[in-house]
Amino acid sequence: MKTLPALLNLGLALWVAGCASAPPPRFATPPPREPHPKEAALLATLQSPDASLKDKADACRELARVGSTRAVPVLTALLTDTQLGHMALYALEPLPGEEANQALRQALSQAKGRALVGVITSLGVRRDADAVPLLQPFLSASDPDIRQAAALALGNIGTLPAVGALQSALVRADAHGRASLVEGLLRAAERRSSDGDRRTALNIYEQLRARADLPPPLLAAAWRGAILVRGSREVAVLQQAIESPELSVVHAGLRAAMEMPDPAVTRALADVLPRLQPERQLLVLQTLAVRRDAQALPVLLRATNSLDRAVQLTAFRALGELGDPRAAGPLTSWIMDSDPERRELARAALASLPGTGVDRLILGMLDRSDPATQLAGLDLVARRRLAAALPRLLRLATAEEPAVRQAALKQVGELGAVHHWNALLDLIRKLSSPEDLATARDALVNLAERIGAGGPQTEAVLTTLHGASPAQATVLYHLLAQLGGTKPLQVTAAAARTGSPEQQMAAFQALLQWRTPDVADELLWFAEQAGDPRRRQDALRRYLQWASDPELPEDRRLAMCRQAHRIVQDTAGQKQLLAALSTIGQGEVIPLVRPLLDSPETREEACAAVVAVAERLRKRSENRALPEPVLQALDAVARMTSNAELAKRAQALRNPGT
Amino acid sequence: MREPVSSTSRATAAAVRASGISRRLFLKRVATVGAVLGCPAIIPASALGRNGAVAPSERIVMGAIGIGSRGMFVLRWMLPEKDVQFVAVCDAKRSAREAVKRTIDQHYGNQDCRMYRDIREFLAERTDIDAVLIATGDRWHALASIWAMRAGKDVYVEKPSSMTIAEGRAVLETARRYGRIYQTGTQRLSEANFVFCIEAARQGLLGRVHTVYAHIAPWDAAEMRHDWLPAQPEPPPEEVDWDAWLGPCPWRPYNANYVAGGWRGHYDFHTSCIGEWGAHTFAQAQAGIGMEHTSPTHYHYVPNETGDGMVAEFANGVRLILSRGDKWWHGSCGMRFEGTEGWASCADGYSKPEVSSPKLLGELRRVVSDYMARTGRPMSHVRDFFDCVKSRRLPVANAAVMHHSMTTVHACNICMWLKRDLVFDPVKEEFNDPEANRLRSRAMRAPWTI
Repeated sequence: MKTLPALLNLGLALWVAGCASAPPPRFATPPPREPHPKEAALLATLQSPDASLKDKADACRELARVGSTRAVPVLTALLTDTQLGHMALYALEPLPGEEANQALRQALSQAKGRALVGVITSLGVRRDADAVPLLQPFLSASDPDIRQAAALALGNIGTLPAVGALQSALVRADAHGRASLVEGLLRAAERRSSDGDRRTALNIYEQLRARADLPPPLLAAAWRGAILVRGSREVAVLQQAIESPELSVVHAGLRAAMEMPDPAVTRALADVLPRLQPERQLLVLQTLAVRRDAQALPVLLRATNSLDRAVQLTAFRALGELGDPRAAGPLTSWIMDSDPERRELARAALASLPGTGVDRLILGMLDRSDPATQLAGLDLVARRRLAAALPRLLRLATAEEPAVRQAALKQVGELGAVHHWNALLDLIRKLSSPEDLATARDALVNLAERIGAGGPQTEAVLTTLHGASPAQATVLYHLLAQLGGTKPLQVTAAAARTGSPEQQMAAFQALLQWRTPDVADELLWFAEQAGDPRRRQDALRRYLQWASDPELPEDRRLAMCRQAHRIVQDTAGQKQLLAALSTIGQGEVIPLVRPLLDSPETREEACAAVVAVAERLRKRSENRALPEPVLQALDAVARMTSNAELAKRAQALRNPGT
Repeated sequence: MREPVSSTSRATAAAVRASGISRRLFLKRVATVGAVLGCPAIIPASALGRNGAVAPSERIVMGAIGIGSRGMFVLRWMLPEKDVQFVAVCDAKRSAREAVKRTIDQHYGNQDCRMYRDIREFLAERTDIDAVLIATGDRWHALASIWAMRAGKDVYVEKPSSMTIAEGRAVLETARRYGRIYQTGTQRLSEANFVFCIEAARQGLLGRVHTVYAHIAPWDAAEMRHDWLPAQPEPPPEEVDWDAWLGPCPWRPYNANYVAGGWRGHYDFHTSCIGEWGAHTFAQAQAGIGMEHTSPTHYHYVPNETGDGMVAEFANGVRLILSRGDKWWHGSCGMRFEGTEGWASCADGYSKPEVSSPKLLGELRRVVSDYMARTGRPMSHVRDFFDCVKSRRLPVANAAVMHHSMTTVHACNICMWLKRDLVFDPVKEEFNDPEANRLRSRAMRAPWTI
C-alpha cells in the first residue's frame, strides 16, 4: 500500500503525457479596440517623475478598468517597484489580451519576494496556460509564500501540464508544502471536471485519497470530489466514506450525497444504513431527510422501530423533514405513545406533512368519541393551524370532557375568522365554569386581534351582555375593554357606577384594563367619587399611568396631572404623580413638584422629577436658558437630595459648561 | 478553554492529530456509543443526554478573528450558547485582542483565551478549533473565510461576505470544496418578522410578487472615496500590524482613523451605501422571491449619488428597487414585498410586520412556526449556525445564498460607478460591458491572496 500513491502518480503522469493539452480558457472580454480617452493621461501620470505615489496608484486603479495593451509596457516597468508593484498588478490582472500575459511571464524572472508572489498569483487568476512551465520551478522555491502562490496558480490554470507539475511536486513535498499543492490539485480537478475531463479529475482525487499523510480537511475534500465525479452510477466510494472511521470523511460523503439528487444515492445510503453504528445512522437518516427523495420513506419508517432510542427519535424528525404524506398513517400509531418525547416528535412530524389527505386524517381524529384521540387531534390542528377544523372545533367546544372543550375553544380563537365571532359569543352563554370562561375570554381576545374586530363585533358583545350571568358578563366587559369605543365605554362605566355589585366589580375591572385613553375621565370620576377607597386608589393609579403615556400629547398629560394633583392624598399617590410629571418636559410642571420637595417621604422622587423635567427642557431648548422656576428648583435639588449623582446632574443643568 | 491534554495518552493524541478532529470530539467519538460529533440538529437534545448541560466533548470550539464593536456584539450573542466554547482570538490590533480576551476570560472565569496577531499562525497552530467567528473589516471577510475553511474550520462571518464578485465565487467554491459550514451574519434571515415577510412572499400569500423594495444605507454614497487620510507614523506591528490590517487591499500610509472604523466609505475597504445594508436586504429580498440562487439580469442606472430608486430586474421579471429613505418602512434594513394580492414590509424595531390586511397578519404565527417546523431552523441566526455545524446541513445564509445576493450588491455598485445600464448573465457571471467585467475582481496584495 505504501507504493500506491507513487503508482497512481506515475499513472497519472503517463496519462497526462499522452494527452494533448486542451486550449486554455481566456478572458471572455476582448481587449478594447480603441484606447479609452483617459488612458493617455493616466499613462503620462505613471511616467511622470513629478506625480506622487498617490497619483500613480490612482492611475493604476483607473487603468484596471480602462487600460488597453498600450498600458502594458508602462505597467510592466512598475511590476518590480516596491511601492507600486501591487498597483501595477492591479491594473494588469484584469486587462484582456495576451500582451498582459507576456508581461507577467517576463516579470517572473525579475520580480522577487512579495512582488513575485503577486505576479504568480495574477498569472493564475488569468489562467495563463503558457505560464505553466515557468511556474513549475517555483513549486520548489525556498520561500513558502512563493511555493504556495505557484501551487495555487497552477491549480487555477488547471491544464494537464499544470496538473502534472503539481503531481510531481507533491511526491517531493514536505508537510508544510503539501497543503497548498493539494489545494492546487483540488482546484485543477474541479477545473478538469467542469471542462468535461472527468477522467483526470477522478485520477487526481484518487491519488489524493490514497495518501495517508494528508490532514483531514484535505483528505475529506478529495473524498468529496471523488464521490461527486463518480456520480450516482458509482456509489461504492460514497458508501466507503460513510463507513470511514474518519469523521471528516463521513461528513464529506454526506455533504456530497446532499449534492446528488439521484435515487441511486438514496438506495446507496439505505443499503449502508444497517451496517452502521447507531450514532452514524443518525447522520445518514438526516441526510436522507434533507435530500427529500421520496424513496427514503421506507428506510425512515423502518428506523422509527429501531431499538436505539436516538435513532428512533431522529427518524421521526426526519420523516417530518422528508415531507412525504404517506408517512402520516404510520405516524398516527405513535402520536399517543406513552413516551412523551416519542409522542411529541411523532406529532411534530405528522403536523408538518403536506397534503389534504393528512388534513382529513387529523379531522377524522376529532370525529372520534374518545377524548384522548380528540385531544391528540386538537393538538395536531393547533400545530397545523388547520382552519378546516373550525366546524368541529365549535362542536367540541361544548364536549363533556373539560380538556377537550378548552382545547377546542382555544383553537377557535387561534384559527377563527370574522364569521366565527358570533358563534364564539354564543358559546359564552353556554359556559359556566371559571376555566371554560377564562379560556373563552382569551380565545375572543385572540380572535379580536386576528380579525381586526370593529363595530359589528362590539355590537354583538353588547347584545350578548343582556341576560348574561355575572361570570359571563365579566368576560364580556373584559372584551369591551379590549375593543374600546364610545358606546362600550358608556355602557361599561354605567355598569361600574350603578350596576349590581357583581356588575360593578366586573365593569370597574374592565375600565382599569381599557386599552384607549378615552377612559381617563371615567377613571378620574372613580378616583374622586367611588365609595370604596380601594377602588379610588386603583382608579387614580391607572389614571396616572395614562398621564405617563408618551403617546398622549404633553398638554393633555399635564392637565391630567393637575387633576390628579388636586385629589392625590397619600404618599403612594404622590409618588405616582411625580413619576407621571417627570415624563413631561414643560416648566409648568415645577409648581406641581415643588411642594413635594419639602416632604421627606417624597423628596427624592421629587428631586428626580425636577431633574428629569429640566433635562427634557434642556434637550428641547438646545442652548437657551432654562426658566427661572426650573433653575430655582434645580438649586433646591442640589441642596436637598441625598443622591450625589442626582445632585451632580442638577448642578450641571444649573450651570451648563462648567 | 483548551481541554487538558495530560490525561490522554500519547497514542490518543497521535490519533487525534491523524483524525484532524479536535480531541474532545475524538474522545467522544471513540468512547461513547449513541452520541456523536455532528449529531444532527434533528436529533433531540435529550436523546444525547444533554438536558441543558453540555459536556466539553460536545462543545464547538471557536476562535474569534478581527473582533470590533460589531464582532463583540456577535461574540456576546454566541458566548451564552452552552455547546460553544471560545478559546482564542486573532487580531492585527493589540487593544482589540486584549479586549476580546478579557470578555472571553471573564465569561468562562479563567485566563485561557490565547491571543494571536497573525491569522496564518493562528490557523496553522489551532487545529483544535472547529469554527471561527470573523468580524474584521469588510476587506478581510472573504480572505479570512477562505483561509479558515481551507484549514478545516467552519465559518460564521459578518457581512458583507465579499468585496467583489470574484471573491464571492471563491468563498463559495472553497466552502463546497472542503464541505465547510459557512454562515454570513445576515441575521434578519433568522428573525420572525423578516421571516414572515419572506415566507408570505414565497408562499403566495401576497399573490404574485412583482416588486421588492430593499433598503440601502441612508448615509454615504455609491460613489466612494479614493483619497488617503494624512500619513501618520506607523505604530509597531505588535500594536497595530498595518500590513496585516490592510491585507489584500492596495497599500496606503497609516492613519489611526482607518483602524478606528474610519475605513468605511473608502473604495478599497467598503462596498458603499448599497453594500452596507444591501448585504442584508438583498439577501432578504431574494429569499422572498425564490431568487437566492441567482442574481438580477438587468441593472438600470439612476442619475443620483446613492443608487436610491435604482431598479434591478430578475429573469422572471420581478423588480428589485433600491430605496434609501423610509417611505416603505420605518427603521433600518427594511424590505417590502408587493404582490398582486397584497404587500408586506418590515424593518428593525417592528413589533410586527406591516401588511396590506389584518388577515395577513393573522397568519404571522402560523407562517413562522411552519417555517421553523419545515426547515428545522431556529429564530436565532447564531443558533442556526451552531446547529448546522453539528448536523452539517447548510445554514440559511450559506455561501451560495450570500454569493448571489452579494453579486447583486456588486453589480449595482458597478452600474452606479459606470453610470450606465448593465446586463448581467448570472450563470456565467459576466456583464455585457467590458469595463464592468474588469470590475468583477481586484488584484489582491501579496501575500494576502487566495
